[in-house]
Amino acid sequence: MYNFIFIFHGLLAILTQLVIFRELSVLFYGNELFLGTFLSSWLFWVGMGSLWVRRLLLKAQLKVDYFAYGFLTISIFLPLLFLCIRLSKGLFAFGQLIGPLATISYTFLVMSGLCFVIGGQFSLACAIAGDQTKAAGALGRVYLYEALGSVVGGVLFTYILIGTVPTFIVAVILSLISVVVGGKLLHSEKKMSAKNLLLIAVSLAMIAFYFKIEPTVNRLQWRKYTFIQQKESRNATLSLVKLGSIKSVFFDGLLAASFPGAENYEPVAHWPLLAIDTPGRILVLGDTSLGILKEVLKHHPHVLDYVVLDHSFIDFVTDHLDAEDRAALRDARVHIYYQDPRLFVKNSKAQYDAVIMNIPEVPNLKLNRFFTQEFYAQLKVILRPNGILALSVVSSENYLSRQTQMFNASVYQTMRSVFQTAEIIPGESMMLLCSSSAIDIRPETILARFKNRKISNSYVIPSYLEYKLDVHRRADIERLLAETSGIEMNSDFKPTTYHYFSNLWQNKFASPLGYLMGSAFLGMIVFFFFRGKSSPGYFAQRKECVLVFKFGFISILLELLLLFSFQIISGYVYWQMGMLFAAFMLGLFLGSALGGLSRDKKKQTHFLFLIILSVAIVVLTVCARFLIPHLVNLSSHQKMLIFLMCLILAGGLSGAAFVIAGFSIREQDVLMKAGSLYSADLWGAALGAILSANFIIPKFGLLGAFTFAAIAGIFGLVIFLVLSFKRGL
Amino acid sequence: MKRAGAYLFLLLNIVLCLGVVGLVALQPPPHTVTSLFPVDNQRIRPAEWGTWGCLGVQCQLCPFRCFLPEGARGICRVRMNVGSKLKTLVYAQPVSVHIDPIEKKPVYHMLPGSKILSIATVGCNLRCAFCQNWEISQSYPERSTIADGQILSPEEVVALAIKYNCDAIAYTYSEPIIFYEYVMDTAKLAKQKGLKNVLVSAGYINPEPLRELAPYFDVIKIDLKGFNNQFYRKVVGGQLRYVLETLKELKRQNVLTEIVNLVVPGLNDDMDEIKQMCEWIYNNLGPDTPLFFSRFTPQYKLSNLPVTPLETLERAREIALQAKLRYVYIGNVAGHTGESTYCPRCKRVLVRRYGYAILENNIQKGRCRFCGEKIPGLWE
Repeated sequence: MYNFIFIFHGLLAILTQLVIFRELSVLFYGNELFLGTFLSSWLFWVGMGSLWVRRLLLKAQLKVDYFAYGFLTISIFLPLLFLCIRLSKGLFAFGQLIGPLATISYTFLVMSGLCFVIGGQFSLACAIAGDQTKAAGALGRVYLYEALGSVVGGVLFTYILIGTVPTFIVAVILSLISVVVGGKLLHSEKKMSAKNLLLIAVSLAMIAFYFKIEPTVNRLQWRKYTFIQQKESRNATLSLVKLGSIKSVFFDGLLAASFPGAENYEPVAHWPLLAIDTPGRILVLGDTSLGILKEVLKHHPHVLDYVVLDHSFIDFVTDHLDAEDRAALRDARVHIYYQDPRLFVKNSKAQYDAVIMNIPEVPNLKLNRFFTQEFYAQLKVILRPNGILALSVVSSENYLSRQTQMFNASVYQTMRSVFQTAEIIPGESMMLLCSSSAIDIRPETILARFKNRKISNSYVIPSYLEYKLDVHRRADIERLLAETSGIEMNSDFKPTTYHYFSNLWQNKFASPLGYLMGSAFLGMIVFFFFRGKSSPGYFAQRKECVLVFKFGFISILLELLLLFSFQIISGYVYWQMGMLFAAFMLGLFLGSALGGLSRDKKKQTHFLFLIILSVAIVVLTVCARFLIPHLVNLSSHQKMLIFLMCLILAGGLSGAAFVIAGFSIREQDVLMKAGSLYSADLWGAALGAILSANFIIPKFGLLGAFTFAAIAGIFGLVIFLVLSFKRGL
Repeated sequence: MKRAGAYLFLLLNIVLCLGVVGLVALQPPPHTVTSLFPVDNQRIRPAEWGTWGCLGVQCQLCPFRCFLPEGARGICRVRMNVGSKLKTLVYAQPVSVHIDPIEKKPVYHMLPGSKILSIATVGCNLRCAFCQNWEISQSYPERSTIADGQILSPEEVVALAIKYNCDAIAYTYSEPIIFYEYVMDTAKLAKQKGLKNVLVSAGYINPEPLRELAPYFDVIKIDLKGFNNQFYRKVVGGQLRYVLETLKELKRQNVLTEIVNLVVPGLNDDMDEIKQMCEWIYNNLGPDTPLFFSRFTPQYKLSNLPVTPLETLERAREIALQAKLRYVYIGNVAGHTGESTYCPRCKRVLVRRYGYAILENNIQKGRCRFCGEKIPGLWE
């Protein structure tokens, strides 16, 4: 029975992680800063729980009781956390972006309780397993079944639950199963006293209560708006709300589109189309570009191809659009393709007069691939010789700060490295037009085309066009961006534009007080970790923990790098991404199973295995570094196979290292052993998560990050060897 | 002993954290800030309105009245105590110099369709979450790039305006109050050369400096950001009463004043408040005060909010007209009828606008061409 419970705990942990991530994304926009914060906060608290549970156990013989109470606590905490997150939208200033400090503080605070319990459950599971079998194998056994649970949970969520079952319902189902599991544990140990029965009843009552008040909480989170509907698609949570006559769609809590919104859609469509003589075939890229279609049709193109990643957005808003937008969607000239835009461009055989990119400006690494030299080169192939590529990025009308200048220059110079000519229309949203031949945007030409095509607009009108075509402003900004030095071209494997955009975004929240607060926070962490022998940092003195910490760090870095690389090379295909996630977890399972076979080997053999595994992960990282750039020309199946193998290997090496380190460690107390190793693993991963997306990848690029991971691997191995020879095996 | 030291370290950190949280939570924010970056001594000039107090200088320019110990800066980031003297760090250092249509300011009662040279330095004494020019206003002098990398003296600004056939100079984009000395010197010189001066400000200034500045200005445009002190404190970082004092002082000084109210959905769009504001303007400034209700577009920290619904602006305009204000406009909505100026007597269109374009101008010698009604403003 216990093996099934361990599997369930793995499944519970991974599903909880995924659904809370979705939920918090709505609050914090799901960008890289948040992803790193979320993962590190999750891993930090789970690690903390696994380490500290031993101290909280008053009576060692009550492990099963505590394990059962842990499940009952999770059953109460999980839906409560959901409601808390949804309600806390009101804690932050209405309509304001939430800065890094608030994101980090709130995420760490809100996740502490639940994650602590989940972490504690792992150590308790090890202790229970230790009572049943040999203590040495307990850790490996629990890790193995947990990994299996994670594989099942990950696959279940990716292919069945996401987009079909609302996350709150998933949370409630998990809570109910947790109550059953907790009850079963108490019952099997014949500890079903009145007190325990009362606990179970309270848990069930709480779940029922949460279920009842959930709709009210949903409405409260969109206070001041008229809430229309919310939907969880595979890629994001979509919310449709109304404020007066303006309907707005929020993607993961971030304003993505408003209807009507002439001031947003008219410039994006009309600038590129007025810059060309005969707009015949037009391509529009970007999920939220729906409002652009009717504007493009004003130029009478023959064909308008519209590429969106998935159909959720269109399905979600169609019924709420005005007649003009709906008519544009039904227009015979409009062809909608549900595909990754980059994949579409790569496979397209058509030739376009204009490509309009309406993709949000690089708020995350996933979108950086639409602003790279490689993608521009692909676009150049599908553009006619005098065709125009148009995109707009955030800028400033009157003055560019250093951060905005770097970001704008990065986009501009990268475009110029592929296209011969580029024209800039300055503004809050800077329009960039580029082509392989000269672009005619002289005011007289633009105004003549505007007149001849009989365009009727409310925002982009002749006086607006004249004002925006002011020679001085255009010349000033063009010179400024062209002359900005020190800009690295944005490429698939060196995502610099994303880095510049992150700087610009964070500049909005920069303040000396923030720096002070951050320093104080770091100071507290340092104190907490290294204040004495009983501190969590004590694990640093155990060589196995150092090794597992290193594996945690490298494996998450490697996992993220492989996933980003796959997206760049093969495009974003949802089911493939899910499969890659699952492959890593399968690797963990297989690795821990294989590692478990060495249980009865000698200490020296375990030591040797750990060295071999450490070398192997460095070799894998180096191989991936040199292999990945050459995968572009392989078939999609071959690419998929290679990535699957890499991820299984990465997971496998980490899983095996964890289990073998468990055999190698001298600690006799299973709780202590499990806590130390598990927390080391998770804290390593936490550090890797927060550093990879926010520092390592932007700083070194994807390929450089592989090198970084390899060097970190060698460094970790050296420390492990030094500690081993210093203190003996 | 070691343990006690460690706990002291923890305690200090907690105190520091709580202190910082407390400071951040204070509304308005602390009166002094210091930069983490060194200042270029070459660019420091004496500033006015500093009074010597015990252990420091107090800046009397704006209602914050920042007390500045040696080396500290005011909340505006550009006025500093250097050697027990108040200094400005931005004199003749505009970061933004552009030629704009006057309608962009927006100023509607002065020379419609004319060009205006607009200048700004970094810094601001407020911290509006919706600031359109936050990259200028919320920056530090040492972190900014001066336009063309050159010091631009008042003489050069005036020469530039003349060179590009501008009728006026606008001190705009950020808060011109904080580069008071530069504004004053340039405005005096511009007057001498026959140019007009326009100040685009949030009106967060003390009456005394305002009294000295106002005579050099032909039009002062004040951003009255709301009529709710809580909104001012939380979103703007100031207090409403000082802005109202400024408006009353301008009335006393007889300076042509135009008021812009940016209507932010969900934050300052309460129609009762708008009604109170209109009544206050009518009672204190008179019915001829031009008033704009401008449409909010997502900016700076308020990027996660949609634009103001048109009907909100129309309703606000209706309320203002009912409150007997005679020149009420809708801003940032190109093509709306509320952009045009109407004769309060014969109701015909005097100045028909479409965005920044002037399609029709029926004001002759400051009067309505149709009925002869005198229209307040500078029209020729």
